[in-house]
Amino acid sequence: MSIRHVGIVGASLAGLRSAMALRAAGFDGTITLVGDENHQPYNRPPLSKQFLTTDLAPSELTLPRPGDLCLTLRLGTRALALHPGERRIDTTDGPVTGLDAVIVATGAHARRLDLPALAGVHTLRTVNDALALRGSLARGGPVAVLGAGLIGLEVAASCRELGLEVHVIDPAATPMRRAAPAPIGTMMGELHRGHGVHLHLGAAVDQVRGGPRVQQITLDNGRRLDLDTLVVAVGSVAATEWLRGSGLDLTDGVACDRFHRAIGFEGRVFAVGDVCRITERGEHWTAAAEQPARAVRTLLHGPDPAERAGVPSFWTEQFQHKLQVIGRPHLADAHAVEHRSGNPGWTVTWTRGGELVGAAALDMPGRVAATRRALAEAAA
Amino acid sequence: MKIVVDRDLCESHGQCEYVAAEVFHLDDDGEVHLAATVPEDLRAKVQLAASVCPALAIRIEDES
Repeated sequence: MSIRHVGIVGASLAGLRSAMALRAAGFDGTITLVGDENHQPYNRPPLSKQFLTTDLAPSELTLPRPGDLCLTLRLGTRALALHPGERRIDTTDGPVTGLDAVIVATGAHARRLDLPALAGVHTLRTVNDALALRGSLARGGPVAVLGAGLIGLEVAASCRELGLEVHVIDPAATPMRRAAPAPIGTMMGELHRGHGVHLHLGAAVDQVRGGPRVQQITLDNGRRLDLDTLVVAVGSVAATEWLRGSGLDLTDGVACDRFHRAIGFEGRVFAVGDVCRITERGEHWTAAAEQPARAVRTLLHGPDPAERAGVPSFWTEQFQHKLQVIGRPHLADAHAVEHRSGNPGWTVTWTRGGELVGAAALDMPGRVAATRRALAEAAA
Repeated sequence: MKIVVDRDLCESHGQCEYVAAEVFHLDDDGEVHLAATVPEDLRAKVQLAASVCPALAIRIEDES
């Protein structure tokens, strides 16, 4: 069957890059790109960083794209259901029909906690979230951040850049536990303490008080913190609620094979970016940037057994320091830290049975590219 | 092929060198160096480098 109409649901990085990959591959049929936000596809990494500390406008985050993509772009339109058998998507703006293939790129939502609905309580995922949080931070704090993951730490660092008192609360004993193993969390925790962030580790929130605006939280160790803004940064959940009833396997994202084909719907439904789970869900910018080209190759030409996944990687910026992590450090059974004299940065290498499985570098970008190639060769 | 790296945007992620080491190289300080000439048959690799650049700092000026 020749493919004449591709529907892409989700108009962020992975969705836009899917459209660009289709056109780059010479696809000249119809591309319908559906996104629930009203903004042109934009770049999210600055939302927890420069966007909070400056007066950047949302339009300054717009992702570059070729002028001749010829998209049927339906922004401000939420997908409601996928009917693979009928080749149709239902949306808040009516159905999209006659689809030969669908690429799911709906990403993830910020995970929410069961907290009282008070003013000054925020999550951070979209540019509208970031605008609202920026407004709250302008009131002067203090700020409490629930969650010492990547977003939580980035928001805390931005708060300190703004001169605000900030507390970070996490039940884990070290920060960034999900993103990277020891010793990264310990080292990043020291960086934060050095910049005046109050870290409350091994602690959880017991009570939230206020009305109509949040005023105080009590931790389960009895500590009370007065605050004006509370940021909930406790991870994300795949945005698959609209796919219920579609028949797709939705256990933590859309289950896919390594060619990004949705299990059971090969050739018709694909998933890329934060919503896609191959062995695990990606959740990083680099995965959303890289995966669409691979998914589109499968969509147009079928799976290529020679296709290899890239080396996973992510980065974070906190207090003008850049941390880059590559590979699969969670697999390691040993690590080594190296400080280079005359350089404030450091590198960590992780090995398993003596084989390199991952590396990290703080402010030493030159080291990263070479290590990434070594990892790719080790994986080949 | 004319490649432009916006030095103000570049954040030394090194993704470009990973996917197109024939064209991009980061020195120890993270400064990107471009190959003096880039043959046309590397265009796809350079496009890939531009697409994976987290800083969105790479452009191909004579995009065909």
